[in-house]
Amino acid sequence: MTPLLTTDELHAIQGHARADYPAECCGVVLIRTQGEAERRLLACRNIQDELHAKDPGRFPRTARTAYYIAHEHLLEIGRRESEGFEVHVIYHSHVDAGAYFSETDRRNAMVDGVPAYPAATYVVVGMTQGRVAETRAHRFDADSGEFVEVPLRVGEGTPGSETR
Amino acid sequence: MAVSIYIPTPFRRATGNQARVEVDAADVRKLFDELEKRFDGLRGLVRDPDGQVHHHVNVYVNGEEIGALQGQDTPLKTGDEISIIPALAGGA
Repeated sequence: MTPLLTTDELHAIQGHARADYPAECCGVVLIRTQGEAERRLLACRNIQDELHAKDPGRFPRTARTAYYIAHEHLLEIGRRESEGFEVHVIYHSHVDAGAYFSETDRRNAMVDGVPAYPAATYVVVGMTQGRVAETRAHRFDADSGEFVEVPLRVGEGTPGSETR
Repeated sequence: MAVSIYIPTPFRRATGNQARVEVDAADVRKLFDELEKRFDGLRGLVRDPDGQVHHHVNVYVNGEEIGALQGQDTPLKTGDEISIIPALAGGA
């Protein structure tokens, strides 16, 4: 069974959260199951501070409490999708807060009432004073129409590579 | 002006699962007009009833976000690559 994250990916995500603290980090794990199975972790740039500086009315939050994946990385995700990859995991961190799936997370994960990436699991890293306090996974449940917590399955999986 | 539009996963339910669509359009606004004519399900997903692109949707022409160009008046030429990608965002 394909693990949600490999051990290396989990360590990379938690390292990313530590490196970007006290800002939220963000990124994705892409997976290709057709042909030669492949996983790819894309650690993305959070441009929330730039958006806030440019337009605080539309973007009242800073990167301490929000993330917005940079345009170049959104485009790269699109390019990878064209190559047969799927968005498997979307991750971010919460600064001095738990690894819950917030109302903001939920709202932004939906497009017109439907999950934007129905096959994706959202991994949240809760940081406390610069350290990883907890890491939890959340996924859309079609029956209830809500995001629910799911087990954070970590295993070896297929070889992957990290891009940043 | 035949341009190529990349449709990401979140919008493919509106395009019959097509990931790439070719359209003739002189600018971004006419491109959306044509896309909405061809795929009724796209209506409302990318633009609001006033014809403005939703805040959570990013539109790129050859990798440049149209907000940094001329918005929906951005002219298009044959061979341009357009991507319509919803923001990936959230927070505590």
